[in-house]
Amino acid sequence: MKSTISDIEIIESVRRGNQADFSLLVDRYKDRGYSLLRRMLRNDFDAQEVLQDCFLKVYKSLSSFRHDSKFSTWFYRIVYNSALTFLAGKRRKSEKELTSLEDVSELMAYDNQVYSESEDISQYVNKMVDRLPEKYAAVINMFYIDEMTLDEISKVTGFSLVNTKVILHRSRNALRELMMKHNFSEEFL
Amino acid sequence: MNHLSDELINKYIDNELDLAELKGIDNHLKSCTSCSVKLKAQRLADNKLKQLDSYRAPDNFTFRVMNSLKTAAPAVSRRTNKNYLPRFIFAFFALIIAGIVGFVSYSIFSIEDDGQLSGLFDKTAEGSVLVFSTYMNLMKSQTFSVISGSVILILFLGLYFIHESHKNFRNRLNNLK
Repeated sequence: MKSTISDIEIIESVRRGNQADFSLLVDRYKDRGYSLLRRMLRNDFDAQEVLQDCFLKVYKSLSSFRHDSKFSTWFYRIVYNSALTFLAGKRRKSEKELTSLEDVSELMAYDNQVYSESEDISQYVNKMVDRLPEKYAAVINMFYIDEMTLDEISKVTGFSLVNTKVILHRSRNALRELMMKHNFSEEFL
Repeated sequence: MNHLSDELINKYIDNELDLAELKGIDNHLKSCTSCSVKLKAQRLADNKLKQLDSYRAPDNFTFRVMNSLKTAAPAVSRRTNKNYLPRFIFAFFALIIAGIVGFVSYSIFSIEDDGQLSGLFDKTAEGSVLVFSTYMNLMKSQTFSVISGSVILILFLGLYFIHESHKNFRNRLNNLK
C-alpha cells in the first residue's frame, strides 16, 4: 500500500528541524513550478535559476506559512511573483524588451513563423502558448496543466475572478482564430 | 437566433449553460455552418490545450536545491531545529507540581526562626511527614482526586499522541524513501 504524506505533514517535519524532508516538497513541486516559469520566462536557464530561488524563499518562509491557505497556492504565488519580478528586472536592463507583448492580439505577429516550424497542430498550439504574454501563459499553464480552478488562479495571480476568466477565454479564442485561419479542417470537421 | 458570441461559445465549452440555452444553441448550430465550425475549432483549441506539454525540471534539480539550502540557509535550519513544545509541556507541569508543593507546604508548615540548626532539621522532618499526610488526606477528597487524575491522564495522553504522530510520520517517510 502506497502511503501519501500531506504537504502539511512535510512542512511540520521541516519545521521540527528535519531539513532533509524539504526534498519531498521540492520533488513534489519542482515540475509544476518549472513548467510555470518556463512558460513565463521562455528560457530554461532563467527558469531553473528563478525556481531555485523560489525554493530557498519557501524554505526561509516556512515558519510564516499559515495553514489557512493551501501550500500549493502559496507556492504558486511565490513562483508567479518571482517570475514577474525577474521579468521586470530584465526589462529595465533591456530597452528592447519593453516592446514585449502586452496583449494576446499580438500573437498573430509570430503566427506564420511558428506555423511553418510546426509538424502538427499539437506542436503548433504548444509553441503558440509559449508566445503568449507571460500572464496569459501563466493562466493557461495553471488551468490546463496544473488543473487549478479559476478561483485558485485568481488567488495566485491577484487578478479578480472575472479577469482571470477573461484572460483564459481570450487566450482560447485567439488560438481558435489561428486554427481556423490555418484551416485545421481535418481536425474539427 | 443571432450568431454565437465568444462568451457563449466559451460557456458552452466549459459546460456553464443551462438546458434552455443549450437547446437554443443546438437549434442554431443545425442551421448555421459558420457557428458550427467556430464551436468545433474552439473545442479543438480546448482539447489541444488539455494535452499541452508540461516542462520538467532537470533530474538533479532537487539535489541542487538541497545543496544550496545547506550553504544559503543554515540560520533558518538552526532556527527551525528548535522544538519548544516538549520543553514547554515539561516546564509547565513541573511548575504546577512545584506550585502545589509550595502552596501546601506553606499552608501547613512554617519554620520559626529560632536560630537553632538542629531545631530546623527536626522541624523539616516533622514537616515532611505533615506534607505527606496532608496529601494523603487530600487524596481522600473526591474532587481533588478527580482533578489530579484528569490532569495526569491529559498529560499522558498528550505525550502519547505526540509520540505516536511522530512515529507514524517517520514510518511513512521511510516507506516513501
